[in-house]
Amino acid sequence: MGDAVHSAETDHVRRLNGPAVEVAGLRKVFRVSGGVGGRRHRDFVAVEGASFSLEQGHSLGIVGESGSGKTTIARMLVGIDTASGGSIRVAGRDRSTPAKSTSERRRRGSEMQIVFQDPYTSLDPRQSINRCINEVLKLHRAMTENERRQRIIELLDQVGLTEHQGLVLPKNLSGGQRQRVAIARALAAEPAVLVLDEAVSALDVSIQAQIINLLNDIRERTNMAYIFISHNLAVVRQVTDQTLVLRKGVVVEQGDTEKILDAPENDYTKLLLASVPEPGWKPRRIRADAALSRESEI
Amino acid sequence: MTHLLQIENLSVDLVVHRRYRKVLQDVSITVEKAEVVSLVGESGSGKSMTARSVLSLLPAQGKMSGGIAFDGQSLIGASYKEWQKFRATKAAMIFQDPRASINPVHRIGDFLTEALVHNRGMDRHEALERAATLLEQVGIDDATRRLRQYPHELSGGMLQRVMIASVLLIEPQLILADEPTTALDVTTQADVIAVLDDLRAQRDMAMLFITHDLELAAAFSDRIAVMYAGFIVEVSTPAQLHARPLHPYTAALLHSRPMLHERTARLPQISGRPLSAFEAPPGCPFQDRCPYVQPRCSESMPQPLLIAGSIVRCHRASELELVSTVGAGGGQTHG
Repeated sequence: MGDAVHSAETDHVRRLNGPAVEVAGLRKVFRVSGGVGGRRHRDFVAVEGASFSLEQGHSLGIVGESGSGKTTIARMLVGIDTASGGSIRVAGRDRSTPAKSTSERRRRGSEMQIVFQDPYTSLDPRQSINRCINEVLKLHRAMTENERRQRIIELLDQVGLTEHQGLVLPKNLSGGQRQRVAIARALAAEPAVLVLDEAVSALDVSIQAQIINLLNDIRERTNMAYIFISHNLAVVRQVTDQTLVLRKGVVVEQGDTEKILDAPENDYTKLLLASVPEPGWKPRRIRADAALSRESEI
Repeated sequence: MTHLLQIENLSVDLVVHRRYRKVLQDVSITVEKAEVVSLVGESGSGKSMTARSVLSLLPAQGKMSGGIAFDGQSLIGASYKEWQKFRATKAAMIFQDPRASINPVHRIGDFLTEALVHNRGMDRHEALERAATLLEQVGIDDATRRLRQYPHELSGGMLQRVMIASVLLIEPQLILADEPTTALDVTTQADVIAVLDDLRAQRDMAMLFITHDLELAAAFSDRIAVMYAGFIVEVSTPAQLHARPLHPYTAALLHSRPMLHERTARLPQISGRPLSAFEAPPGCPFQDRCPYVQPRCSESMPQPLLIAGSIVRCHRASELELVSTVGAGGGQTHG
């Protein structure tokens, strides 16, 4: 696949002084209704005291099972959810509180972009691929129409799509191709940080390999920082250099990806690793330590 | 020798956009008593359709040709009643999403005992007791309370255990499991697989297990069949498949997985995307993505060859020396 060609023009990401992302004591509490008629409320802590720092050009994996809070962290970073406590700094600027103006919101968008899991629902079905990318360029980049046209072709090429594929609607593309579009759209804003929320999880193995290689190429070329959210530890090893393991909203282990996967210290990390099927793997019934392994099943 | 399940030259056409499209081509596979056979492949390869054909659960207007026999008796041409009886007693399916396949307005107890009460005429109380025992066996505590609950009150992992219990209750000789753990977390998956495999083995039940996860298939099946574009391209034991894959597609699939224990500098990738049977060119369906393609590959689909105990459909299978991991000596020769 032609994900190799790219021009020098595409290769820059703004230089930053200091880390691309700094998060300290991040916390998110959801109010859950309960009781008769939903009148009584209780607080559900989705994320409790997460702290990490990510340098430019580096890639941080956030791993955990459903309900661990990994997507909630992503949503707070990009501003879909508001943090209940703690601080978030991206590209040196605070974004712990919601943006107060359109220009502020736009600036945040140009600093950090997100790619979601499902390439079937994250693109507008009535918008051609070119228009979809053009929209982002118009919003975030001062370019003439001609420059934008040129840039769209470059971006498509960068993710291994042809000019012709830019003309079609998402329904004419396969899942892997749509995920390439979602990545091209995110790259159009030339963000300092790219958040990838289970971005390769829904893809077939052969397509997943293509997208993983593409992501690694882009990071090498652009010095962009990644926050890579996944439940798949093998994929996390391939894409990240640091990892943070979440369980029920709490960070149980964090550090170098290799160290965590080769010599985990936390029992939960060990259990996650032992649960991955591999040759010679013998699944065992874990009823005894069920409290550790299973989500609190009602 | 009689096989428990014998599928022979099965082809299936389904109506997609008002036209018949091929989804399965010339599929032949057997499952013996108490044997676990996995069907592995990417989306659109036909693994689910193969399992559905066995239970005659194809979408409306689906056309099927070829043979399916269970315990020596042909199922082709069976009446609706006979199929019903077959599904109620001999073979049962575990679906991927229990929430979509368990009726949400019925209590767990009603769901579990329906088959026993209606098909076997068992007393309701006796059926409930049987269900409670089985729930305990699949790892659900406080079974009598669970029987009174509704599906929405249970988590996904829990509900999949209920589904497994429902299948075990009718004591089929063959379980068809269609990605039964794909929607579950890894730790839950490990537990559910352990439960399923334990109970199946105790009861001498055979299983046709469908998954996209090669490692998962390797972990507990006796044989693995790799599917591509509606064909079975290779059938092998897990050890043999990982040590010496015979089909270029199998080898490519094994290469392109990220490894848990080591980082690959760059994942060897298969260009293009997986095809459905009806999109495949004449000849071998893998030809456009195959690094070893030759002119004859576009002329005919190779017939199944028996090599070192494995079955493979590739013109070049006997001359290629494929390996399962990159850099594991030998290399990919004859490029």
